[in-house]
This record gives sequence, C-alpha cells and structure tokens, in this order.
Amino acid sequence: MRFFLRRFVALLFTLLAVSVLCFVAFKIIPGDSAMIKLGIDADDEAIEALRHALGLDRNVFVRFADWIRGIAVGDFGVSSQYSVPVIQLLLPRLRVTTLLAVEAIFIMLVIAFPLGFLTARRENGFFDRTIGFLGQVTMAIPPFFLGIVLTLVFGVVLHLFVPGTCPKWEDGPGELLLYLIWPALAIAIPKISMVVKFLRSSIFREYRMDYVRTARSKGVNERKVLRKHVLKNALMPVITFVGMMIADILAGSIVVETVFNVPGIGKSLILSIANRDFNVAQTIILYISFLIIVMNFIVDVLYKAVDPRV
Amino acid sequence: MKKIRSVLSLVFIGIFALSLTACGKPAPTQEAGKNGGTVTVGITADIDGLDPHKIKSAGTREIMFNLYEGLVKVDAKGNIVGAVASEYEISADAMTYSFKLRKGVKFSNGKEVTANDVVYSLKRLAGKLENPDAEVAVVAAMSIVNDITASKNGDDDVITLKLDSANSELICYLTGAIVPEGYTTADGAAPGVGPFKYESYTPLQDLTIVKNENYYKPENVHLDKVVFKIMTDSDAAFMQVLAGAIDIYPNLTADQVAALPAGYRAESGGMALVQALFVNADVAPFNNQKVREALNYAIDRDYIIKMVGDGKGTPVCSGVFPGFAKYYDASLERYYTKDTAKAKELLKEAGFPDGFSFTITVPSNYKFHVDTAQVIAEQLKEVGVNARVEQVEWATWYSDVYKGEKYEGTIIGLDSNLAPGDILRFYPSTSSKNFMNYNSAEFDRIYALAAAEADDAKKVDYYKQLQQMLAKDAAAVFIQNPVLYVAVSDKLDGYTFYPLFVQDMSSIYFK
Repeated sequence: MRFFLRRFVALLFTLLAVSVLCFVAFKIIPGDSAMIKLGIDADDEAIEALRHALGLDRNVFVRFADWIRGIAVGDFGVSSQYSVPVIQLLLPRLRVTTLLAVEAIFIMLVIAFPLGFLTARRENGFFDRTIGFLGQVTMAIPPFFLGIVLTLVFGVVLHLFVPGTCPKWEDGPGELLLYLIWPALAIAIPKISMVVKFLRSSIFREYRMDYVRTARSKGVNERKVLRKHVLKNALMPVITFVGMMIADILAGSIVVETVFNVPGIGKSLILSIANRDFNVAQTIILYISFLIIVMNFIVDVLYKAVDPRV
Repeated sequence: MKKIRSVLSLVFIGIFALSLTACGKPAPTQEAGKNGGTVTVGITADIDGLDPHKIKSAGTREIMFNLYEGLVKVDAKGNIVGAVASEYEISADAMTYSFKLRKGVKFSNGKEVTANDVVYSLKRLAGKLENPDAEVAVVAAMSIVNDITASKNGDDDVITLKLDSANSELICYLTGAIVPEGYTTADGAAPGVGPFKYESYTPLQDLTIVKNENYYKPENVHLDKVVFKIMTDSDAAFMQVLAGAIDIYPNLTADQVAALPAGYRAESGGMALVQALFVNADVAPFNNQKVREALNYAIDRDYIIKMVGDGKGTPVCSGVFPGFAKYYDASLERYYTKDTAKAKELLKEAGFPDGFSFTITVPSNYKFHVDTAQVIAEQLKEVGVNARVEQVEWATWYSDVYKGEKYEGTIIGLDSNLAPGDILRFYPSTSSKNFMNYNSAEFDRIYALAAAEADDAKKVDYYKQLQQMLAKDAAAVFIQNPVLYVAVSDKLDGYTFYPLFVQDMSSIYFK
C-alpha cells in the first residue's frame, strides 16, 4: 500500500512539473492566441481587446493558479482556436488515437514474440539471419516514411484502402478498425524489429548462463530449459523494453496520424502549438506524461510479479 | 529531415505515378450529369471557424465565398457586382453609398433577408454594435463609416452608408457576409445567402456544404454537395490525388504538377498576392537606399520563377499584381533586371565593397517562400552578400517579424481584396502594417488622395505613381506574382480563377 501511495504522490509531482514547464514554454515562445485568431490584418487595439477577453493580459501566476484549479475539478478549459471545451474537442480524437495505439500494440505483441522465439531457436540459423536482416532494414525506416510506402503500395497501387479517407467513429468502429490497420502497421513494424532483436539477444544471453548448463546436464530437455529457466529470466528486461515501446506508441503516433490523415490527438497537438491554443496543448501534454508515468508504474508492478527479488 | 522527407516522397510519388498510369485509372468516386453530384476538395489548413465575420485566413475566406454573400460580391473578372443589393450608387463626392436591396433574397434557412439583417451585419463587420464581440475580424476600412441606415424608397429597401471622409474604394470592402439580425457565434454556422449552405463540420477533418435551394440565382449552381477535406500535410494530400480520392486540390507545388496522375489536369492562374523580399529599412545596411537597389539588381526574377513556380508567374518590381488590371503598371515589370556589375557598384558606393551578411527570416509553413529564400541566398552570393535563411513558425513570424519588426530580411506574400488601396496598405508610413519601415512623405500624400478620388482616370494615375515610387525607392525586393496550380479531375469542368483567393464551387459541374 505504501508503495502505491508513494507512486501516486510522485505522479502528481511529475505532472505538476510538466505543466509548469509547459506553461513557461508557452510564455517564452513568441505570439499568442489573440494574434493568431485575429490574423495579420487586425490592428493593435483589436488584438488587445481580444487578449483581455481571453484573459491573456492577466498576471502569469494568476493564470497558472486558475488553470491548476480548473484541472483539479476536471475543467480543462476552452480551446481558444475552436471556442469549445477542450474535453469536447479532444475526447473523439483520443478515442481514435487510443484505438490506433491498441491496434498497433496488438500487432506488435502478436508478431514480435513468436518471431523472437523463432529467431532464438538457433543462433545464426536460417530464421535468425533472415529476420535479423529484415529487422535491420525496417528498424532504420522512420514510421512516417514507412507510412508513405504503405500508402503507395497498398493504397495507390493495390487499392486495398483509399488513402486519407479515415472513416468516422460514428459510422461504426469496424470500418475504422480496418482503416487503422495501415497506420498501425507503420507504427508497429519498426517496434517489432526492435522487440525481436531485444528478445533474441536477451534469450541468447541467458543460454550462456551457468544455470542453463546445469539444467542441461541434469538432463532437462531443451523445451523445458527454454520455458522454465531461460524465458523467465530473459523476459525481465524485455518487459521493461516492451513497456517503453507501448508508452511510446500510446504517446507518439503523431507523425503517422498526419500521413494517414487520422483525426487523432497527434494532429491536434501539433496544431494547438502552432495556434498557441494553450489549453489544448497543455491537456494533451499532460495526458501523454500521465500515460508514460502510468506505463512505468505498470512495468514496475509486473517486475514484482515476475521476479520475487524486486 | 523535412527536406529529405519531401525529396524521398517525391521520388516515390514519381515512381508510383508511373506504375499507376500502367495500372489504369482508379475507380471513379462519383457519377453524374451536368447537374448534381458530389465533389471532394482537398484543403491544407483547417478553417478558422463557422462565424463568417471571424474569418481572417485566406484559406477559409476562399471557401466561405460559397456560403455567404455581402451587399456586393466579386465576379471572376474582378468586377464588383450586386449580390444582396441589386444596385448601388456612390455619390460624386464619394461620401455616401446607397444600396437597393434585391427583392426576395432568402437566407439558406428560407427566411427572407430584411433591411434589419443587412444593417446588423454591416454594423457587426464594422465593429459598431453596442456589445462588440472581440473576436470579430473588424473590417478596418469601415472605420470611416459614420452612419448605417435603412429606409424605404417606394417599395424598395434602401441601405445608406455615410462616411466621415471621402473614399471611393469602400465598395470593395462591402463583400462581408450578410447574416440574420442578432446572429452570434454561439448560434453555430450562420445561415447565408450564398449558392451553397452549411451542412457539417468536424474540426481537422472536413467541412461539408450542400446546394442552397433558396439561392436567388438557382440556375448558377450545379453540384449537390461539396466536401472540403482538411489535410495538414501537402504530401498526404497529394497521395490522395494519386489515389483518386479527391477531385480538386488547389495547392499543387511545381514538383507535384509534374507528377500528376492520369485523370487529372493542372489548371493555373495568378494568385492574389505579391511575393517580395522585405528588408527592414530601420536597420543598417538597409536604411541605405543604394543597398536596397543593389539587392534588386542582384536577383534574377525569371530564374526564381523557373525554380519555385515551374516557370509560371509574373515578375514584379513594385507592390501591385497584374490582377488589378487597369491600376496595374505593367511597365514596371522589368524596372530591375539582373545586373551583377551594377549591384556591386551600388554596394561599393554604399560603403560595402566586400558585401555584408544578413538573415532572411521565413515562416516555415510556407514552403514556397522558404524555397524562394534559398534561391535568393544563392543569387546574392554573386555580389558578395551572404544571406542566411532562418525558418520560424508562423506565430513567431507574426509576433517577431511582422509586429515586432525584429528582423533584417523576410520573404512573404502580401494579399489584398480588389481595392487598389488595399494591396498598398502596407506602405504608408503611418500604417501599423508597415513592417518594412518604408517612409516616404510623397507616398503618404498620394495614397490619401488616391483613395478619396472619385474620378477613375485620376485614380488610375495616382496608383501608377505610387507603384513607380515603390519601385524607384526600392521599398522592397519585389519578386513575383506567383501562380496557383490546381489539380482538377478530368470528370469536372468549370473551374474558375478569380483575381482574389476564391474557390468558387458554383461554376463547377460534371462533364
């Protein structure tokens, strides 16, 4: 219980630190939402008036305190760009991004682990080499480029999907899930290569351990050696790594969303910063930090479960 | 990184465009006759919002042209024609404007447009309501409007505008949307009198408009529905052109024109803007006119147009573009031509025999201007001037360069409505928009005279003088009037270019 409590307090402090940083950053970068909203033809009085109406002319500390007070009661403010509550703007996008992330994580897990075990069957064997080579190639490709290649091959040439026409959630999640396979692949493929490589080296490292030799000399068969002894130990670092990958996916489908025209929070984040839409940017950044912290926490808990020494 | 990305994607686009031609055309999205049908248009920036009086970006204005009309509107030739008003009259002293309202004009919701609606809309646009909304993009030119009244002339409704000072160009600013009396942003999209009406909008996704059955000229509208798909990435947008998923895409780059797949054609027309390298005349060495002239002689406008505009575009050496027809002084197009020796000579006279270094700050969201800056930086090396290109995001540009005037050089396009005074609004020394700090008492004097002048021949003469001054004083390094390339599906016809930023969907029909 104390463990959880300590973690929870740490979480709150980290989030607070993140929002202070974000606030300071917005204070430092030039331009504000009043200017952006009125455009370059507005005269100074008009901009001043809007600044006042939006409360941008208030003291920085007052604004920050106000914002924190809002968060505490679940009020994330109003988007200055769209004049709607941030929650109303972001919830539908969050839904899409989460769906995309879950799909990508699913693809990653389902493909990465079997592939990893396959390569680990024999060092420098046929699978090890082929998959190792493919892994090197795909790992080097940035997701947005992979996205463009997927779009061209499967969308433009093979007509398996129509690029950029992301179905709406309201029209049924089935259609949306089908479309999201492609961006999910673009996100998952480089991650798969990394997890496979990591799993492989982790397993081989364990194979060289004394306890494996002992087990073998006891006459334990290979399958059992792998399952009972090697895997248990080999999975430890992999869990951390997969945890990081998942947090990465949850937080970082930003570029891929742009390539596939997926209406997720990635696009919103970029635009909200460009538009100086502080409330929206701040909320998304908090959400991402929250996810990463929670993922780390889950990894820690898993550690405890797998390894009694922790 | 971004550069590599676009180069790589172009290579791939090229390869696959070829393979696509081999595979044959993708399935058509729509089938229809001359009337009816749905067209999908790709746009690369989200819209500003649904309140027509809060629009400030050219990208949104050109779409809302389809939904809203003002007392008057612009036609494809650049004439001001009646819209909600069927006729208008400007008094000889250019102090009074009167408008006769067209009979039976209805909003898209079926309600008839009344004189009260018109007065309310004009007041809202002029910022003259009792409780003005701070977010309304007030038409600054309407600040001289002193009084807006409605009256009856027999059976006709007449709207009268009385001005504080004479101005014969105000008519060009009266194209702002007429909305129902009492409309506020909270009501959502306002009913309009345009050829189309609003149907739905999802931020960052799409805006859908449908034919307005109540339009006062129903025969002018052919399509049933237009979907504007919002894409924030030019590469992603072009991919959809390749896949046949959008019918019209109005932001082709020169490279994309070359890679356009079968089933599309590229149409081109002059944009409503002047692109220039502006230098800050308040900082050395640009406070020296000779230096500014030297820069004008150092660049090769034709080469720039070839590099960034695929060879189309009109070189300009002053602040007005050819779309202004009679006001435009075409004789200035070659006022400066590339002359390296002369540029060096001028630099020497100015005290910079070995050249100098400066920074060109460009907004990174305008790839066109960034590319231009790179070409110019190369060209300036020949005369010993070392220009460093620095990209900043739009809000930073607006705040630091445009408002703060903390810059040495910048490349941007200045746009305008149809009033010749509007495209020159940046240059009077008293203007808050004068970010290049051009300062000429003579310019200020003529500029004021020109706007007030009611006699057209004299007005034309004034504006030509102003253009000559800008060229002679080297107020900026004016570059070109760029061309807009639009990808149009071969199934469609009727795409029309305006001398303004307008995407007129009413003229489009299926072949």
